Amino acid sequence: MSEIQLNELTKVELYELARKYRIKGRTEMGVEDLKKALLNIGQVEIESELFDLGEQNLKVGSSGSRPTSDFGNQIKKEVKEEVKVNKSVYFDGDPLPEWYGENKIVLMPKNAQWAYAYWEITEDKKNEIKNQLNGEGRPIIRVYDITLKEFNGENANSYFDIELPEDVSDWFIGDLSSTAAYVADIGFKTNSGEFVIAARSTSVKMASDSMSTNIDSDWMIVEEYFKKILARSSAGRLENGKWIGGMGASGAMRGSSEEMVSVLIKRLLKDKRIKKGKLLSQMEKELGEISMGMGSSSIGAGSLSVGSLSAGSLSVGSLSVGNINRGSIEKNKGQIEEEEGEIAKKDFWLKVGTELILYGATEPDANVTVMGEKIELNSDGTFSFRYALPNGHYELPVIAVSKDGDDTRQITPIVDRIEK
Amino acid sequence: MSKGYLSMILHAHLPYVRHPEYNDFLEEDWLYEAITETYIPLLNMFEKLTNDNIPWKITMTISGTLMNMLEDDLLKSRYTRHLNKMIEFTEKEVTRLSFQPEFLKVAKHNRDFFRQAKYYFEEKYNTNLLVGFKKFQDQGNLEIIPVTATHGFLPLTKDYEEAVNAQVEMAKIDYMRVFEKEPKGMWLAECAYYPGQDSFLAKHDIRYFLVDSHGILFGDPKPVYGIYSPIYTKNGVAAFGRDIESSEQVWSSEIGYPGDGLYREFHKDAAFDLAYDYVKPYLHEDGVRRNMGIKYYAITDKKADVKKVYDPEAAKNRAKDHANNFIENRERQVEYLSQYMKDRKPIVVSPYDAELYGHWWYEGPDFLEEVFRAAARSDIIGTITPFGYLQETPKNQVVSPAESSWGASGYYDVWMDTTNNHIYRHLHKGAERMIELANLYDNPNDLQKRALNQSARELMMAQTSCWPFIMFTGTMVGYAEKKIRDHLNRLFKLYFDLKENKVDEDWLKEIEYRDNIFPEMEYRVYRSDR
Repeated sequence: MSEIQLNELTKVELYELARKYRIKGRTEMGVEDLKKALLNIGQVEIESELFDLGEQNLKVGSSGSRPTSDFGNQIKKEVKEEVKVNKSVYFDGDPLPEWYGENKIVLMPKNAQWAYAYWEITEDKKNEIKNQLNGEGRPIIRVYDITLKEFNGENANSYFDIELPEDVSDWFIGDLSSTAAYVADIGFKTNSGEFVIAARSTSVKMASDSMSTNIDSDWMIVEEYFKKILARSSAGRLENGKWIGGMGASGAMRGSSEEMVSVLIKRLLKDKRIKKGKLLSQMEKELGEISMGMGSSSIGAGSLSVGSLSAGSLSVGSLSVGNINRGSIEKNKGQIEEEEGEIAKKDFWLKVGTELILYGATEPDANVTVMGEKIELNSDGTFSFRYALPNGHYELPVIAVSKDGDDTRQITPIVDRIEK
Repeated sequence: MSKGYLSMILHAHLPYVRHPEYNDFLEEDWLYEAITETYIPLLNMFEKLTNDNIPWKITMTISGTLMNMLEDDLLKSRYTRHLNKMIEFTEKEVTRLSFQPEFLKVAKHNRDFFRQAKYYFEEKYNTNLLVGFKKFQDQGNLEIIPVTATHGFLPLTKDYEEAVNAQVEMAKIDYMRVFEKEPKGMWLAECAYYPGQDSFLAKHDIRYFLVDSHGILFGDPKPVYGIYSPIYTKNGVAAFGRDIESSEQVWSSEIGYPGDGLYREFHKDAAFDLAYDYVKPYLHEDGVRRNMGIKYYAITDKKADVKKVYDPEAAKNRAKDHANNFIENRERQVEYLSQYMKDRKPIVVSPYDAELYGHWWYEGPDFLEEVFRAAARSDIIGTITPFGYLQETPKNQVVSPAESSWGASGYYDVWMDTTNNHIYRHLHKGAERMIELANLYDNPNDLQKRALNQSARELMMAQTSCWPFIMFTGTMVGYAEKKIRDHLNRLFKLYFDLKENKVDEDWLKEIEYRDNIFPEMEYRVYRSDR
């Protein structure tokens, strides 16, 4: 942490950082002491901090890069690798600053109806605005529809406000119009409607979710032909002129919504420790998030609170916002109930295998065959082989011939393997 | 003369995962598996087709992150170590399965597979597979295009145009370093497009890119030939749209070929079935059982618990049947389309993740090879690269492509989600600071220049779209979070050190060693006047 960085911060922000780094005695410290303590991070031992991912150890997880790779195997327990990482000058997993000390809002596109905004307002700016509003004023986002406009702050086609809880710094904004363009302001608004801006975003153009009606073109083709080409082009992905998506090239193998739900279910089913009732309630919880995306009970028109969504937090929930169709979710739930019976039956299990180890020794320069196949001896003349041993009768002739060919020894172990 | 074209495009990419600070790093396996199961089998296939005089045209992307890993000495030596262990293990398996002929056949197949990988890697290509890919590109059958430098997801960086330009320009610089020619096209990470981003391609003479079907279909004005002909953006860059019909036949886990019962079951790995003391020496240092890539079973029936033993020959024959079926379907598709496209031949563009072939779908490379053999026999369909098509059909409709990606649901949802939205304020701050630095230094001294170039590497490594993707899928999330944090923290330290004029050379040296992507990194790609 450099001095310049720290000088940008207010006392509240410094304290917040100190809390994050668990600096002892922080409640008693003034600005300079806080800075000094923060500057010393990295050189002094502080209370244990690993990757700060909300847990003490970093999960370096299971087997592969893709969601499909760690289920379906006969994993009897969750595979978890725990790597302890020491505080390092090279930042092994250190947290990033919570804020950067500026007044800013950024609006980003998500899909044809949803956008996402994050923002930051400094304490100074907040106080300045509160003073301006005589201590009144609650945080809102004002979203302007500026489609086909050169926006100057006054000429929006329309706008709407979203009231925010005090402590959020980002928001998903829904119910937007496909192909329309928007700008968002973050600011404070009084009960009487007075609004003061803290920051304004750049514009975002929403994605199109249907065919263009514009048929201007340097060259034309007969509309009847076009329909035939179109039917082929969309291969059933267009429904009432809307893109129903659902696959994505990466879909089937990595990350289509259907696949994700099914991966999740399989993973849950594989985890034998999850017992009957618990399984369903966990599914409910995770699938519940999916419907939250659709129902949206949060404050402000069509908006979706980030906080509430991430509370239960499993990625699948969010996948769905606006896209997964309910039919398929319910189908999956049905499947679970169906497969659940099987799990209960399979809870206890036993597997037994047998292997045979054949080993021995002779002169290091002898020629040795096992079941007729020539083998390589270790340098001291020993050998050792391991065989899977299914049911059956086995004869394993081992023949050693001395280097000069004068002497031969044969030993033939005979093994019967049966099971009862 | 064919009536239309099939354009197969394989997107080869892995995030930059290289950790010299650990002796044994789990995620580096992604690269080793992809080399053995996908990249070497592809090279092998190119060679067989060439030797048999089969006409074949294929397009491959190789991302900057993958390209730099394939060239890296540390990873190369670790791959050799991995391969030797696998050969030793598969040899033991051949002995162990002596009493079980069905399994023994698979064990021998596996052993030969790894031995062949070793032969290709060490002897044939002298540990640098890029030499192989370059050779086939120079011979004219393979068209390699770069990917936005570190697979950066451009639409979510739209407010920082310099950073968008840097992803495009650095990709081109690094491509030319390795392949010694100008790239014809560029793969936008995740096929993600936001209006206006084509101007950065135009600026660097990139002639084409690819989008998902609806990127063209929802374009404005309405595209006359749908996705069966490229369109030009206003900046004169061509965009090709993904054909869903052909993609689905291969990709879909439900109706796709890879789900066939004869094919090798990906999800049943011997590492979980064998005696622990026996497999332990071949696992990672922590001794946890994980997939080793040694598999004995066929998919059989997706719902069945009891799986049949895999039969490599039967699977190979099935791949041939599927390839013939695939080409028959394309013939019908092209015949149908050509009735309505009088002034040009339709082009069916089929892009896939390269790792689908071989890694996920073990028989995928056999399938591909047979696709080209079947296409060679066809009077109706030929294979072509996008640039080849543009040369033949240079006149195209002008359409503005729609905002889209090839991710689930077709927009940006996967990368802009409640699981990963928190990273963007930091990534944006990183871009902002990098741009500020690049504009600040006209004539840096050597140390400053190194610090500036390293800052650019750190930002780019943090921008890889795989990190938010991993957060979205919910596996290995800790690692993805760590990557973004480490790279941005390193960039921020360099930013403040540069501004305070106190760059710590020893520290910088260590970071240059760890995050060594793009040897010819040029921080000026971030300048606003670029």
